[in-house]
Amino acid sequence: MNGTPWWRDRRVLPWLLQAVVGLAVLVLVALLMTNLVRNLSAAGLLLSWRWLGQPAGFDLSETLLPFNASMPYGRALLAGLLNTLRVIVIALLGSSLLGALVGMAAFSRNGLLRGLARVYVEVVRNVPLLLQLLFWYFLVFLALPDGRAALQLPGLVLAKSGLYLAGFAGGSWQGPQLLNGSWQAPLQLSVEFGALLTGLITYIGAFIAEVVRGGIASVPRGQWEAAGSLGLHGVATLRHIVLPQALRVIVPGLTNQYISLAKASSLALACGFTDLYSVAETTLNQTGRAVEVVLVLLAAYLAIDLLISAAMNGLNRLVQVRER
Amino acid sequence: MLLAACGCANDSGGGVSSVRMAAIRSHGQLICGVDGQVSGFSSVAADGRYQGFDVDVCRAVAAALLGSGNKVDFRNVTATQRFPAVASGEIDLLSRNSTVTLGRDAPGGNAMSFAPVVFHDGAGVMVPLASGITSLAGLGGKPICLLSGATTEQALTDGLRRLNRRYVPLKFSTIDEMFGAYQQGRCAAVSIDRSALAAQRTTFAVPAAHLILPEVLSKEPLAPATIESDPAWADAVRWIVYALFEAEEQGITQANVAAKLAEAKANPKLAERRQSDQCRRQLRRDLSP
Repeated sequence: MNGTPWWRDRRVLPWLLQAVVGLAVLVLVALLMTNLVRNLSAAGLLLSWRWLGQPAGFDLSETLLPFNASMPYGRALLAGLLNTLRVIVIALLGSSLLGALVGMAAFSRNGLLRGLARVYVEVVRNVPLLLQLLFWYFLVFLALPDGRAALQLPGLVLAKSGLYLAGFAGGSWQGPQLLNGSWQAPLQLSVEFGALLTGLITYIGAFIAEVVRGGIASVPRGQWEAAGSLGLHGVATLRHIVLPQALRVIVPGLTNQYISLAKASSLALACGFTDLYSVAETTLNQTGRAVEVVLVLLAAYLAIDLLISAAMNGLNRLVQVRER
Repeated sequence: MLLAACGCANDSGGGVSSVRMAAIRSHGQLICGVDGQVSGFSSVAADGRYQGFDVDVCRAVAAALLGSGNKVDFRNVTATQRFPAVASGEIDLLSRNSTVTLGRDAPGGNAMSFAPVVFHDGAGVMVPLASGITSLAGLGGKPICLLSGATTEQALTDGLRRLNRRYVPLKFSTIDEMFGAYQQGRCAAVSIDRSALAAQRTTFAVPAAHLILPEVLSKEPLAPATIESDPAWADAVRWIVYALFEAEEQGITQANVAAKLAEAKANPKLAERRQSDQCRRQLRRDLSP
């Protein structure tokens, strides 16, 4: 070893700095936590989780797992979480598809298609999402006719109360039926779910369209021309030459959109859909455990977003160019 | 004003100190949490002034404490925000058609301190007349519009469970959204306190086309609430509400309060008989600065 003093040693200094910063963060967190606990106990509120096992006393509509009012709050929150995940997964697929199509349409030779894509993106991304959800729910879906007057196609009925699809029930194929003035079918989706899904897909789809458009625009014009001189037609050029290069730019932008989609799904209560936030709000009201319920909410949304981040980072590594 | 008539206010004397009352006095305004969307209880009139029964309770407390019913800062709070808003000290007094329940009063729950009940309500259900539904049993399996976080939700669930019926709950976060969905025909019925149903029905295009079912699903005693950690402040609100009851019994109003006071001063024995001793002693203790 030479005679370098430790405060100039490249092997010691970074570790030391990191330790100091890490310690500062820990102290800050500890300070905030003590402050929270002290103020809560001063107000007579100590963190307690016993309420999770107590019967909820309220009912939920459209749950993926069986639920009734005598089941505990914990299960109600789980049912809400599953509903939230259901919205996120379907809206994620739908908005990706819509965004990709609209993003590619921006490069179409058809002027009308290009114009429509532009108008859609500019209108949708410049109006607040909450307003759009209220628009879809109150002005579009709740304006649908009901009962006998509902929109009917073979195996499909769209009514004010929801979408009804034919499917297998009790071992036989069954179509939607009108019983006592309300529709019944093996597969049902409520209008609340429909309005939330439509709102989220069109809103996030507009942002994804811009990400896709930006990605495609980042591929140099020479690549298009080179593909053309090889005799590839438009769609084949896009698929084999342009998109693989554009994906490198698109994926990081997509991650942001997917994360904001997951967070935006918590606006479900505006159109009456029972998601995690809606269940948590009722739970908070009935139990009075505001801090605990908010902690559960924070943890759940953080976990969902971290999961999306991790998956998208994996995808990002796959599409990047491997340099040798 | 009413308290001046009662003869209990602003007397000097040693008392329990109240952090909240000191804060209200130094602030010069009472911060009162109301709903703001329920006609008859609390709503905003065309001239921008708050009006309604809940609003009047806020004004009475401000009048007793600060000398004027106009020294109130009204804050609209949702059903979910209301108790945390009191617990965090954001509002001094909650006067927002809130039902007194054990869970809301107990320290393990919302830890509120409730004043006397000012309105006896009950959860009810309203249906369109055209639906032909005339009783609760007819609602089995049907969608019902509800307010997220209101006690009426549990009352309705219990009421239908007793009849062995299930229903599809559709929850909304505000009264306006809930009645909006009901009027668009999404729900077979809408459920909340019967007072709110009756008040909201008057705003419909054709009020007579809607029927409030005869079943009263629950007892909903509505009362103002304050933070539990300040008992002196809670006592003051309690006795201001009692003073209102007393004034109503004796026919004391803003118009005749001066005359009644003069009469009481001229004839102290009469006044002495009229007011309850307890009221006077308690208020003297509570309202001393």
